[in-house]
Amino acid sequence: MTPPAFPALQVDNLSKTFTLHTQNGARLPVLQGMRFSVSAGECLALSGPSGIGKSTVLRLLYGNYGAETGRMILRQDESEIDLATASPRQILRLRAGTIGYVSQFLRVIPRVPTLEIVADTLRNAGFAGDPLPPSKAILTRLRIPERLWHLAPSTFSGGEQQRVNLARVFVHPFPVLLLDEPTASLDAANRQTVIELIQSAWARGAAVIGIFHDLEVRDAVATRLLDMDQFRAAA
Amino acid sequence: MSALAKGLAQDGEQPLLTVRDVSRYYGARLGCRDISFDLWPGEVLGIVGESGSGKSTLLNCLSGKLEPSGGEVVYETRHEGPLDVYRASEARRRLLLRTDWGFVHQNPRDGLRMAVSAGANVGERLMAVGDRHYGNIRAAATDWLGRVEIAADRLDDRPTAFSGGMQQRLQIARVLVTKPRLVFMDEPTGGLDVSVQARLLDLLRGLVRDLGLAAIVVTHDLAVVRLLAHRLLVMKDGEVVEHGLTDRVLDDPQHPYTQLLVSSVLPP
Repeated sequence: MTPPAFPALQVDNLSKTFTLHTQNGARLPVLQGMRFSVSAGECLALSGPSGIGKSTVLRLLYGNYGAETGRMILRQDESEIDLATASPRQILRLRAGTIGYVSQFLRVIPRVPTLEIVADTLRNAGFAGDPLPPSKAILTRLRIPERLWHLAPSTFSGGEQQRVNLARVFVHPFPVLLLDEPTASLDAANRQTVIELIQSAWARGAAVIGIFHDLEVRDAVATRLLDMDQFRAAA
Repeated sequence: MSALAKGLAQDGEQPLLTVRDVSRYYGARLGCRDISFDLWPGEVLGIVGESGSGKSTLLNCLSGKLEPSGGEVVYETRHEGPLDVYRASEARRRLLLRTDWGFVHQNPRDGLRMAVSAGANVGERLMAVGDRHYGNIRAAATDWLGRVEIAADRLDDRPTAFSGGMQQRLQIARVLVTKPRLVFMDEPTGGLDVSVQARLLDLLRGLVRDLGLAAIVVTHDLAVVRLLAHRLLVMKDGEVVEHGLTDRVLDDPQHPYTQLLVSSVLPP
């Protein structure tokens, strides 16, 4: 008997407009009436030209932007929550253990060593054991040399920072993963590693939503494409 | 239990501080008006706004130093249930400030005793909560000075011999040594070198996560609140104009004033 295949995430009528009060109240509509769902064990790739609102969708799901209209229902087993109306505390708890987000920027407290940044994800997620061994394992897998583990990543190259950013998310088995150009500044070997990490994430049942400009990566990891053009807001 | 269920299960716990409709007038002049929010254990609340926006008035009202003209501040004590801070006796309020609470002043001279040694400044707070063992007190003082990056050989120096940044670090060690449950901070990292500021942010983050420390931090430094605060209140002319998840307030500000504030900062 298989359990009912609940959509992990169901988005309905999602809209977002930015109003710029400092620029004479200019209104920038980005998304209108967006709907989609992603099941556990799927990787949905958002596709469309730059500026169409792909990153905005990920930021709305992560609670970084507020939704103007619509619902974003996250379901797991018997629990559900609407991300569009979740309280700040609920969003923060979801970020600690449920929703992982790989952004294009590494934003961390200066001077905190790389290994600690990665281990902090596990500590925040309530990991029971010693967080260091799995943290070292993911850093090794992403080819961050051991001599850099005890340094803060502020002086690292763009590609190294990107891999630290990936390590701090992939160290924990987040049920939902939001990936914004996770391979943008990586070489071929690391790109292949990230492809494998994403594939094993949805294979273990994670719901993955990503933006992949690299078509080779997209074809390797996505189980479905969503053309964003249909939700383009009329300006 | 699923990760989601676990994440949503903790809603039953009590706020540590409940603030309702707090207003403060100076004669006819408004300090702050109708401020309400809850603060939970392990949560850092940032309060931002320009000078004169009422943030320091609010912080003083919240921390038992300045009686509000109206409204109430209720603190959930460890063992005795909720305590209405301004209906409690002066003695009870002072005890709270000495034990469960800490206040980090903008000017370290307001929070330190300048005539006694650095070690005594830290040890004194421990003695105030009942610690009497000299060896323990000295060990704890040394440990805390180390955490704020003051060398152990400065333990017997007076704060007057310290730089402004060192005085601020000493003040923070003095406040944190008794493991308060709630800390109020008024521009705590203002006079600090950037590297020391980073060390303190990391220290505070660890205490918040590992000990459930809660903090209310008034600052004008948006980079500091982004890294430290979970939630943000934006104040203007004595009122809260925007309130929410820190990164959402900074990245998707709704109120014209917040947009101006965020867009006026030079990117680092």
